[in-house]
Amino acid sequence: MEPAHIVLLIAVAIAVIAIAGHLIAVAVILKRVVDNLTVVLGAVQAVTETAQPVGAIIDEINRDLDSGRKLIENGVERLEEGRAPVGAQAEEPSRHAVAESAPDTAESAPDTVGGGSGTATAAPPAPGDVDADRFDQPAPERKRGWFNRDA
Amino acid sequence: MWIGDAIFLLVVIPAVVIILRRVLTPAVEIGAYVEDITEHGAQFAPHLGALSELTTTRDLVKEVNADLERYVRALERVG
Repeated sequence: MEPAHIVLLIAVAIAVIAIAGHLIAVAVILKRVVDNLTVVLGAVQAVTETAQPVGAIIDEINRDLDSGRKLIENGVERLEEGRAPVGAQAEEPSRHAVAESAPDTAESAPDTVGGGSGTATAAPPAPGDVDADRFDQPAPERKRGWFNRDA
Repeated sequence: MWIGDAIFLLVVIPAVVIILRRVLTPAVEIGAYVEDITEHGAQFAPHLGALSELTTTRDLVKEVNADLERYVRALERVG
């Protein structure tokens, strides 16, 4: 056997070893990929089985919530119809409530009695003979009520 | 004969190695991606554990509806 043949055999052996090593590495990687994909596939199947009835349950919850909302709306409408006069009065807040909510403004109000909280408005008293001349001239703005009359 | 050996050693074997590298590199990347998918995909199922509570939610909504109906009727009787 000539030396050139020995070199050729060695070269072929190197080539075969290189090809075999790479193919084995690829096979190992593909085996690991298959194992991992099997795990992922199992997880996806479990998720699919878990999430399968969710749509129907959510639809049922939505229907129940919708019927509850309609129930409340109908009840509130019936209650508002039954209490319409009271509701109409309640829409315009009474001056008593305004005075209670803002007592400091009630003190500066010109026609409130007492100037404190829980005050009530009072109609001006009927004019007597003493005050007859006051109606000829416009009354001062802050002296209108009997409680602001100068002594 | 020696010329053929030289060509085989200096041209053919490197070419084979380069081609095999081009196969091996994507395979390694695919392996890394699959491991990443496995790591994060395995955490997918525990996060959906609360879905089993939806049946409890459905039952509670039904109970709330029944109580709500009683409440509205009681309000109408009061009003």
